[in-house]
Amino acid sequence: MKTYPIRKAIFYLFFVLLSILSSAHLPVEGTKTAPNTLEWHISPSDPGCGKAFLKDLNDNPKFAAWFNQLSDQAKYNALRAWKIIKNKVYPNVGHRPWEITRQEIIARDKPSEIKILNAVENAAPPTNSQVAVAGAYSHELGGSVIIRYNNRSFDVNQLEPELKQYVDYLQMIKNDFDTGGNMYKNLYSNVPELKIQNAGAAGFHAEVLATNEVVRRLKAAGKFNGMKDLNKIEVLVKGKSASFGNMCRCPHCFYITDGVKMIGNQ
Amino acid sequence: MKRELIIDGVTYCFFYDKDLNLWRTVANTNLILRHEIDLEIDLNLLKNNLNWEEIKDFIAFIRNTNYKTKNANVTKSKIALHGLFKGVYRDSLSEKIKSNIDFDLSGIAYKNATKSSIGWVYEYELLFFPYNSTDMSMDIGSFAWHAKFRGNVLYGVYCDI
Repeated sequence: MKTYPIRKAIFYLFFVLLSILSSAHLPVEGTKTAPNTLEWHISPSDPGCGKAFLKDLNDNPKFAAWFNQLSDQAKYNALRAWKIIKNKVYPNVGHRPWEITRQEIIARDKPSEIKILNAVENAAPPTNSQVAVAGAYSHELGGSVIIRYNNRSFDVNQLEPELKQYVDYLQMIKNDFDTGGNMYKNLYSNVPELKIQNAGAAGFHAEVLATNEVVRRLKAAGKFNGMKDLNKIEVLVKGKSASFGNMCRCPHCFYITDGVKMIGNQ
Repeated sequence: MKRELIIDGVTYCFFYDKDLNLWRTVANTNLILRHEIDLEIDLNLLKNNLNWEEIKDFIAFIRNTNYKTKNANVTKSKIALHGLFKGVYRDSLSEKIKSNIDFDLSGIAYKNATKSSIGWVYEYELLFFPYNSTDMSMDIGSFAWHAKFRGNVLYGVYCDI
């Protein structure tokens, strides 16, 4: 009787390992077996992950076609993007009146937030094509707040790897939508049609560009050692039109800047 | 870089944005009554070389167009943009929301001047942002909606989606 829990544990472990191996080697359209990189990501604590990923591939032929033409490294990135984006629920909120966010910042009286607020309010207003301005700051860097605007001509290949890692995946979903597909319904969580329709290309919005510059400077100062350090950065976004106010993030920006402390709105 | 134009005693201060290659004067309340708008000159899109005398004449044209005509131009633009809006969001927004959409005038983009039999005719765009009049917080995209004018004639609309 005393050995029963041990036997049960061994038995359970055997099935978990079997599940991992079987899901990691299910065939993917266009390839004989799933890439080895798939095995890396299937956590023993989450053996269903691999099956869910392969189901999404099988349910979305364009996704499978896109995935299968990637290099092993890109497959690794895509798989990670899939897992994060599938499981992190997009908040799907609207804009906030600027005055409410402004008053909240003043009431909190947090020096870094006050500094960012002043910088954003004193920055040149966005043009009608830029639409939004973002201020980003890290207290570990000090110095001035980084101000950036939406920039449609920005080359996303210039993004730091930590911010670039999901861009191709996000853009693939957006391209699918723009050509009549509805892959976003499977691959996102809680992103309505309106948000994906309006999202624009991935990676050129003000909050991404401001964050990118702070990441770049943190790295130069030896103070950025991976994704977790995105929480060293605070960002505030203000829109041009009165109705935009303290703007919410589009789905692309939400996932690209995941981990950054957004002030006021999500 | 900065450039000041004085028209009918009012000073318009233009600033050059070298990243965008664009001149603009912001938050003008005396171009179209009851609206605080920017006037932008994107040098990348300008058909001719920038001629400040031409810009002065254009501002004078806008200023001297009577209130009723300017108001009608804004109204016509909104009607045309609303039609475009309904088409763009045919599947993604309910009829109720689409009927509650209004447009906030945000700027004028100067484009060109051409000589005609009746004198100079200016091409420009009125720039708008849409909002839901019953829910101002609603996110309906962060890009401008354009109404194209030749003189006081509306001849097209588009958006930057």
